[in-house]
Amino acid sequence: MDIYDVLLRDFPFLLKGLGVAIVLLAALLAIGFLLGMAICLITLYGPKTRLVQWPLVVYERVFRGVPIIIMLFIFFYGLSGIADIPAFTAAILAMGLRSAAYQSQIFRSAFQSVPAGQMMAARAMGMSKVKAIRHIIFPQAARHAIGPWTNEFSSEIKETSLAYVIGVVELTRQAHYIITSTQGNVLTVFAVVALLYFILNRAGNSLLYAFERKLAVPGFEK
Amino acid sequence: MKGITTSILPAVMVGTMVLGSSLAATAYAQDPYTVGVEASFPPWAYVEGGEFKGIAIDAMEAIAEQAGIEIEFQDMPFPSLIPALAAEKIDILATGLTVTEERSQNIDFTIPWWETNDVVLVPEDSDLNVFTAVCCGAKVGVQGGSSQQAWMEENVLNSSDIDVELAKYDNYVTAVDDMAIGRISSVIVDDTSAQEYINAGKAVKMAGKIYIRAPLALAVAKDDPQGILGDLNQGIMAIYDSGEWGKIVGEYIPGVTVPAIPGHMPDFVDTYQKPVAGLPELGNE
Amino acid sequence: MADDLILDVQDVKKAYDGLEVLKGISFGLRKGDTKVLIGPSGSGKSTLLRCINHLTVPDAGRIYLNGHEVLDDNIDAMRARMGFVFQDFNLFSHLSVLDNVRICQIKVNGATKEAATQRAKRELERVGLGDKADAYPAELSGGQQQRVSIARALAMDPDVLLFDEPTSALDPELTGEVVRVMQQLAAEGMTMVVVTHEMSFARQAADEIIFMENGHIVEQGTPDAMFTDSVHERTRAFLNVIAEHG
Repeated sequence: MDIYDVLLRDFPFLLKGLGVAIVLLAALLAIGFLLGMAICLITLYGPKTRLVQWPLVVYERVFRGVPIIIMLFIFFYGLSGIADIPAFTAAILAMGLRSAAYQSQIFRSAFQSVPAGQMMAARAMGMSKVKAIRHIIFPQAARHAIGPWTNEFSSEIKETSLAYVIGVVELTRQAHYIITSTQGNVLTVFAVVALLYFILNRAGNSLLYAFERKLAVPGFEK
Repeated sequence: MKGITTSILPAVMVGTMVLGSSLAATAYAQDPYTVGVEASFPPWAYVEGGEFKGIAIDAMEAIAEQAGIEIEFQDMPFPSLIPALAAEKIDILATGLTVTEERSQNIDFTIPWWETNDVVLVPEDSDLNVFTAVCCGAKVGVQGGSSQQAWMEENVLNSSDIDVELAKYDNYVTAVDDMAIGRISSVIVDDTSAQEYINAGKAVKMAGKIYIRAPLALAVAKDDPQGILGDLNQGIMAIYDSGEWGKIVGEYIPGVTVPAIPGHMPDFVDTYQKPVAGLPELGNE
Repeated sequence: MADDLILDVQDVKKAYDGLEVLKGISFGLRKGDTKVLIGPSGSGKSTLLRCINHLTVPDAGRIYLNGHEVLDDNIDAMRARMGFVFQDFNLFSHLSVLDNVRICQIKVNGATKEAATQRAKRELERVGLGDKADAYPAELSGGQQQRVSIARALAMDPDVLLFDEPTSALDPELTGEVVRVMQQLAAEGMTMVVVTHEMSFARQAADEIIFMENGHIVEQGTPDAMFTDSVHERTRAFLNVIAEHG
């Protein structure tokens, strides 16, 4: 069987690996979004006491500073004494928590680029802080955040391939199977895999750009 | 505003559902024994057409049937397997796993079921011999964390002035391919795998053998917390005695001479002290 | 506290880092009053205006709106009853003109979308921008933006409107349209406190002019009294300088 027949035969498994990568990506971005937004809001609008702010700073530094592969090992092996976490969950947690650190920074600079007068005007009209954030600040910050967030999306796609070190069989690992069972063809197989990652990245970016265009407002500075 | 909330919500919900379902999956994960394999290590374990195949896979299934236990396979890169066993993420390690003293301190081995010697692979058109291929400025490829790496470090790098550089790979296929394009001069790999590469038509040849008589075995976590070591030992003997083992091996490596079981059991392994679990008549005095 | 005062400011004090910006200011407005605060920059006018709706929280003193004291725990409800017009407009830049005028009616006052839309259109007509409902703030001139921000404040049906130098950020040729809207509101009986340097507005529309300096009210009186025979030397000097430049 030549490599193209094998690729054709095993293409569904590559797609399955791609599916695993997509679910991992969606889950880690979702965790990163929720937690990152929470961190951003507490940092900017929460109590300014050290007890609250300091742990957030430490969290951000740690998760941005430690290589993801080490985080994967820590969550998979290190936490096994505390809770038995399956590899896929460990990957979602390790990568999601790290993405939260990055996303919190994206959101923070997006929120900070909304002029102070916007909050002041909203409060002066009788909006509570929460309403002002929700109706006035968040929609503007979202427009600032979407560009950097697209970058985060693209870089996390590439990171998902590292989850195989703890046994998550995603796209790269499926490609390894083909390479080892056919004793070679590294270039051909990885070219196909690269194409799949590229398509995923382009599809995601197109969606985000479309979202950006939908939110576009005349004269609103990006 | 409305646009933002409605578009983000589905993404968040999908994420939450994924988390929920993967957490729910943990609840019954303990039932079948999880067998960790490195599925890019033919002929011992690999994936073809989406299914696990290989000597270790088929034999493990036969042993499980003998012992009346349920198993499921979990693929992991080789360097992760022993930590996974130590952390009890997997219950059994079944791959072409060489018995070494260092490993025996962290995991418990079953009786050896295979014996390998290492060979030095060089490109087909190379005029290097077994000595020149691993000395004098050569760059030698091994799989990271493998017994070949340990052997090279112990016997060449750390105990002599021989000028050799080790290149560590994720798997042997990449190493062999790297040798084909001239990045490294030779690859040290077990004889079983080497024969595979030659059979598959790779442009490599054996420059020579390193007789180390390395036993291969299955492994469980240290001190056998699941109490399955005896079952595994009995299973190995049973499929060997019934001839099933020979059939499985012959299927993957046609024409090979099957070493006797139990093979050489090194003294440094605790679980090879008499009485061996499940096989009390065996073991080192 | 007089019962008929809509806004009653009593002895308000504010200091920043030990520097007293307001040294005990008191004044009051009846329904329909227009009071204009004037004074050199740094005299505390804007701080006073911001203290009224707690954008700047005063150190001491009391503020009553319609007999209810303005406090931290009722501040959102109180602010909803006090329109505030900023020097630099602060329109919500992601929202259309119509939504700028609607959003707080809906989110703060709980108006229905239909009611809010009707009211918004009426207020936009009132400031002469009925045709700009679908535009976005960045597409408007400064004068138009300021008129939208006045419409935004009016749509909340406030008891009092507070203007913080509403024309200071505008090019001279655009101040006229904003001043005209303010004059019209004063004439219609809106209750207003205006910090401004527009002496023509002060002279024509104010019921009373309050001259502030160094955190004090130096003098207050009707425009006629203030412009023709102010008692205080400082007031005359200030009005002369303004008159020359204005």
